[in-house]
Amino acid sequence: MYSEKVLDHYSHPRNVGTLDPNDPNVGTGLVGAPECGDVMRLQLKITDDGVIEDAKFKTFGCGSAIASSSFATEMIKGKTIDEAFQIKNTEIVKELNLPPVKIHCSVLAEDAIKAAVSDFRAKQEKLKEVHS
Amino acid sequence: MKDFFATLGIKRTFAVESAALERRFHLLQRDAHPDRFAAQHPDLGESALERSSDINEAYRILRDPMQRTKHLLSLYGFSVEQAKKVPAALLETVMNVQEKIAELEFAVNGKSEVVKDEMRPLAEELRTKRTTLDLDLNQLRDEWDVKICHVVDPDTLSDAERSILARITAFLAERAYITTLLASIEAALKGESHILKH
Repeated sequence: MYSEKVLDHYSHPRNVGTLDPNDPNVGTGLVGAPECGDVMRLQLKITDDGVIEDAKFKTFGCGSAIASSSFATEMIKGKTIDEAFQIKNTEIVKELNLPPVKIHCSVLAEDAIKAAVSDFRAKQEKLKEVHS
Repeated sequence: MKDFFATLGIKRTFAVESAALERRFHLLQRDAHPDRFAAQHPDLGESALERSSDINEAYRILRDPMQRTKHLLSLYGFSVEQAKKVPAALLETVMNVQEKIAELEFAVNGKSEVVKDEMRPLAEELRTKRTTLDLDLNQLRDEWDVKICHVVDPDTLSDAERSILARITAFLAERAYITTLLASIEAALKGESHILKH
């Protein structure tokens, strides 16, 4: 039931790993899907100009969840955080040819991106408050 | 959307006494039995058949506590399956546990007992969390049953009343997550593969 692209990302996941969550330039998004027990952590390293220079992920779940997050880290590098925030799960569905029962995996990846960007923004706000 | 509580003519409560429910079911089923109509009024047979199968379906759903809970919540627009909000602390635990399970998978003989010893307290923590959730759930369900179950129109629920259903939904989703995770831990401790089969 898995497409070739899913299998490729599943057997050779890109950008698996972790970034320092305490780094002020790193945003961390941790999301989960209670119904299937999946959990996904996506981390972004963002320059002071708001460009994503690195992305790492760690996902426990089915092949589609792993492929969705792996693909998300690939597509997101080089984008600005505003562009990243606009990414829709449908782009992931299309690229990976996900069947309807696996669409929630791509939603999880979209949620993870948004959570990571939001975490980064919250951190920056806090820093500004401290400095002013 | 069908309202199975209305089909059986009972109040929308989370707790239902099963003997009373069964008596109610048999009583309604006897009155609605298609054979009672078919002989005298052939035309009525059709609608009686429909009524009879509605009663069967309602009884099948309501006699099962989990299905009854989900059905009650759905009448007010809440869905446990669609619930996304899982507390961040639980997600951290899920991540930790999954990392340990993966570690165990690749551990060489001597090391695996060490990893297992690290996993047991995590499992204990999850079981305690589940017990706490169950207590909270019971309290919320009681509150609904005693004070609010008469509110049939979702639009007339107050914010406080809605929040009871919202919390029940969120807690049930959290509980489902914990149960899935505990099952993977137990399988891993027994040496079975944890690879998710879906």
